[in-house]
Amino acid sequence: MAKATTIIHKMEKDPKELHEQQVKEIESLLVEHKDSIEDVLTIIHQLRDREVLNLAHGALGQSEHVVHRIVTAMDTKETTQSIKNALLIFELLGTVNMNELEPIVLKLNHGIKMAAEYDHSDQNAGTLGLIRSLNDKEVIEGMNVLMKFVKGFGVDEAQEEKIEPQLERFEHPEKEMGTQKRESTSNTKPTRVYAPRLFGFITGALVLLVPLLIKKK
Amino acid sequence: MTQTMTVTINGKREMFKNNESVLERLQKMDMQVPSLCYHPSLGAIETCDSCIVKVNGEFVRSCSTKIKDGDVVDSLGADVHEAQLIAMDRMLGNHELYCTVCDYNNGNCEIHNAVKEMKISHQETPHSTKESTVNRNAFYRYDPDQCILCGRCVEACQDVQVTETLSIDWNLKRPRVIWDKDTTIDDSSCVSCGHCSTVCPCNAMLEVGMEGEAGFLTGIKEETFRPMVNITKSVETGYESLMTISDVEASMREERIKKTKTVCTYCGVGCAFDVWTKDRKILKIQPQAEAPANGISTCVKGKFGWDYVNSEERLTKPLIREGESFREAEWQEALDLIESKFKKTLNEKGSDALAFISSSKCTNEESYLMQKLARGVIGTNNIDNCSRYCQSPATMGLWRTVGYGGDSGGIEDIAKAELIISIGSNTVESHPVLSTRVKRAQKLNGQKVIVADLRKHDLAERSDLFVKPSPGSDLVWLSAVTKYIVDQGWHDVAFLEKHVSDVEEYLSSLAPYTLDYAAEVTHLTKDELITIATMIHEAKTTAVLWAMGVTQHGGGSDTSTAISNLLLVTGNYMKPGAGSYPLRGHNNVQGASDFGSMPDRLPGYQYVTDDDVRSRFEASWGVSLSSVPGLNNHEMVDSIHEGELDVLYLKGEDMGIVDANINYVQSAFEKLSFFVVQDIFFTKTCQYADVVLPASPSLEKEGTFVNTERRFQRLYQALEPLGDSKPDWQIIKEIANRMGAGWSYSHPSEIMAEAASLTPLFAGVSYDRLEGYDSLQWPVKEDGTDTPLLFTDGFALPGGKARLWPVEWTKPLEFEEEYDLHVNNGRLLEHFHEGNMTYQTEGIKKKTPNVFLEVSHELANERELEDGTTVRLTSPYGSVKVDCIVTDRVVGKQVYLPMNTSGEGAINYLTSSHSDKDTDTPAYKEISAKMEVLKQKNQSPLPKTNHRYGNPQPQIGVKVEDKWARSDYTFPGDLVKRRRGM
Ligand code: SF4
Ligand code: SF4
Ligand code: SF4
Ligand code: FES
Repeated sequence: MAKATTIIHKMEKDPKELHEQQVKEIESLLVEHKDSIEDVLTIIHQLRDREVLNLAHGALGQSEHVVHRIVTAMDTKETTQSIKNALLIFELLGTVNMNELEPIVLKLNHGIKMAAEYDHSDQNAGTLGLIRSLNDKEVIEGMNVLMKFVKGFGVDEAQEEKIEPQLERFEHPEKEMGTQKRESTSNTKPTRVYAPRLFGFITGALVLLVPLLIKKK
Repeated sequence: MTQTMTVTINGKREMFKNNESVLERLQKMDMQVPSLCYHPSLGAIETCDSCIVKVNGEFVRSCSTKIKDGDVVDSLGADVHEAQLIAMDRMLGNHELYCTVCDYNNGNCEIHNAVKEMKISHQETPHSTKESTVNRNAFYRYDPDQCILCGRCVEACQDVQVTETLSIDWNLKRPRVIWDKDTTIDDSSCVSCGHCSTVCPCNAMLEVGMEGEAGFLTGIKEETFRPMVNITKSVETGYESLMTISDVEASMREERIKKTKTVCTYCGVGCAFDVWTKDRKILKIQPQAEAPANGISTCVKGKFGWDYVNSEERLTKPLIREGESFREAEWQEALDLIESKFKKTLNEKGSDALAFISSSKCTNEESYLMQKLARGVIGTNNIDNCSRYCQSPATMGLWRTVGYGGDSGGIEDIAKAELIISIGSNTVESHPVLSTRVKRAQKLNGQKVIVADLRKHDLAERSDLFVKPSPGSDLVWLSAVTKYIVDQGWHDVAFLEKHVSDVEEYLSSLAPYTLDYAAEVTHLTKDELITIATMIHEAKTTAVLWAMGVTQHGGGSDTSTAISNLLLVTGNYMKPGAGSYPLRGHNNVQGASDFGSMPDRLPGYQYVTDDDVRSRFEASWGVSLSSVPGLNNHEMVDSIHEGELDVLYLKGEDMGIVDANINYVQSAFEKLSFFVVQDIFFTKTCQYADVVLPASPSLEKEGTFVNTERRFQRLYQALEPLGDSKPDWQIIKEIANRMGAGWSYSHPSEIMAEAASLTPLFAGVSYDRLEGYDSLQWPVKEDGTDTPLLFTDGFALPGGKARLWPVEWTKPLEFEEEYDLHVNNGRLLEHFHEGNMTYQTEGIKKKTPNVFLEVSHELANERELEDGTTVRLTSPYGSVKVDCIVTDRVVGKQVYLPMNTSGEGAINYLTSSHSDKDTDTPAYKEISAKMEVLKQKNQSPLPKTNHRYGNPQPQIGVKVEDKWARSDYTFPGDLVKRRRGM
């Protein structure tokens, strides 16, 4: 004899217990990923050394309002010109030592994608979420790669000499424009690997880096 | 067609046979020609001019120029390129390139790709605004300033979906797309099917779910957007670097946005499409031309109705009853309880004290496991599914006459038929995409349509002949028409002789069905009957579509039989474009029965009474099986009342609201000693359960469905199960293993492999053969050959011959005089059944928030009803309270109550336990009631923003001639000629 009912008692966790559990989780994660965390800190230091983060620093975690101001500020001839110059340099950088750099850059890109994902999706994750993410193999790998990238960034002066002259770029514009047709792919088949020109990845990654560090919403 | 043609293309001689356009040929040869308005599923629209080439020295649009023998085609010349560039430049004057910050920059933007391919680095015509506002509703939005006026959306809306809302107003100073007579989307006749946004080549017509979500840089506030566009533009000098950087960004999106093929769960059409997800967010549904049942088509539910998946109301933990309430529990505890209760009942009362009900919304694999659990583990044939509520009579009618209980052909055949007869089927609302094929064929290809229905629904409105037989009398007019055809000597004698048995006996059984008798019973005029017969006679192919208006009657099986008889007599089987099409309601009604969730049949419709069949299953399962057919749904309910049945395990079915005479069903649930309900929401039925198990919906699991065309299609997992919910097949497996089954399935493909090996009907079905958008229509031979068209070499009955089956009319239930209104009922386009899934989509809820009662103008006058008047309808079985809408869709004393509620307006409070005499399908359509006015004035239950109040503007295509006639238009080819002094 079961009368219809709509009353449901939810399982409740003691908030204290929950808190303790979380603290423990963080603790063990910290211990487990000591190396990665050190790496992250190094990355941040190095980035700061190179002033990469200056722009983003003030805006980190701030409101849409700040983003608006930054973007409006950036929307001036001088700023865009300097970004443009920077991009051109990175584009050229990318044409160097392809074979050596490719796997790293591909991974770097993936790392940034992951970073982006965390930035967008997990609004309430906060610090805990970030630390938890260290558990993720892909994140760790991404971090390591980013690490390498930052370490190598700007150090290897010798490489710069190998840069092909601008002229070459203008004479062979097809190098710049991947001509393969892109289509949407669906998950039913093995992912089609898309490999545009390498420098594209680097510039793309850098262009993206700045806004990604500016927290949206 | 088959004649070989020799054509010179860019200086090279080519030979081929196909009759195709120059564009198609060039594309096949991998010669890139821009073609912004051309979409393979829509054909040539001729608005963009970007596809210009030279054929025999003349500039032509390659999309609309058929290739002819001896043609000389030039697609590479400098003058050709120049003409194409002019066309592209005009496009760019209408569309601003800000790809990096555009939500449409996903690798498939056709403008982006064309600009890249043509190496365009700047534009002459500056982009300028059309000075009109963005038009949006909850599902999609139109940005005129990005619209290139290609007209694909118009073509899709006018001639594929055939809702006829969109057009381009070529008379405006700056033409743009308009809704109805230039109103907002919400105030228009738009049904939000999404065709327009699916085919748009760019971001002009965009799904709202994509806005600010797709890109890494696109979630920007409006006031920030403009400066951001300026930045990207000045950073990305020229379009080359814009293309490069945005391509990089697009390829990064590929990593973040997951595209998963799935199959819609809202109706039997079985639309397949990619679902784009980012984490758990559903960005959009992207139909693919290669989808076998629907191509680029969807209806609002399939395109936009997925919010329920992330609903807070989803069940995420097992619930266990404690007295008058439930508490959340862990799986372990719930399964322990189920195990002990099942075992106790088994020991005390035997296996037949337990019963199982599968769902026509779940996968084939899940239906298979449920019946295997009942039969092979528990030892009872007490297993059924909810198609008992709708489709069994149709299946019965076909078993009797032709041997297979499925649609004769595919949706293509329906489109191909010269004559469509739709009986008791509100196709436009119940099988939306299928109905578009009929509407299109009628609009463009001269297909004729006869509708027999009580209610003037959308297809009736468009039909060539609309007849309104009195309720439940279809068998009579069908038989009379058949008799008239035979009397005229119009029957297909050769066909009958060769392919059909019991002809004489049947023909003589027709004697009573004279035109006079039929006219008297059905209230059709003799003229109408003769017109129907003549139209069938004159058409080379006739296909009959029918649904619940036929099946949910006391004589539902017999009427279905009469339909098949008529088709046999006129030779309308065994050929494309003809045959019987019982339209399946739920997405997997077909599959649930196909895979054995029936009390008397194992998978593939093999009888449990057949020793050979049983021994095959016994050998594979390693158990012995009962040869006694079990109880169907209705017998189960009776049996509970009688105290024979104690335990019920029901999945995915809100039987406590969808079954007829729910008061009786609900009181049965109260009597069960143990009741397990498995669902994704806490339904009405769950309220009676002892244990509620949280299941995962289609997007969270893999499996296959069989659609109304007998077509197997795979769905892939797009999301992780929410909370602690689990796919049904895993839950069934766990319960079975608690009962000692020792099942080890790790993936649904293994279940399918086992089912196929035991079932001749699906012998060749395997996951490999169903990869991606591949599909198979049963019967499927072991080598994988499937059967798009049934009966091509004979019928599935002894001797390969069909059988004419005499039928007699069962009078519909009669009600006492005080019940003076006939209550018709059925589906609504925008809601799925009682709506527990579709009400979760805000946009749908806003436009169709409530159930309503359609009443006729006559009745409204007589009883002083108006929009919003609250009434109570009372039948001998119960009553409902609902608000009225006055409409000419119904006439006289017939009222129509859609089923989109589980509240006080639920139709099944009115229905009886009366059912089809052959299959026990509830006679939902036989209800009369009396009406009481409760409150004269009230707010209308249907907001004015509902599409039913729109004002469609039918036309064929986009009317490109009007564009060409504009004074500011010159054909780019002519311009080039002038410039070059040609
Ligand atoms: S009915 Fe509406 S959503 Fe469907 S194609 Fe027409 S305008 Fe677009
Ligand atoms: S909105 Fe329509 S006309 Fe405009 S670009 Fe898209 S499909 Fe073409
Ligand atoms: S409800 Fe039916 S017609 Fe609509 S998208 Fe789903 S399967 Fe297609
Ligand atoms: S593709 Fe031919 S005119 Fe648009």
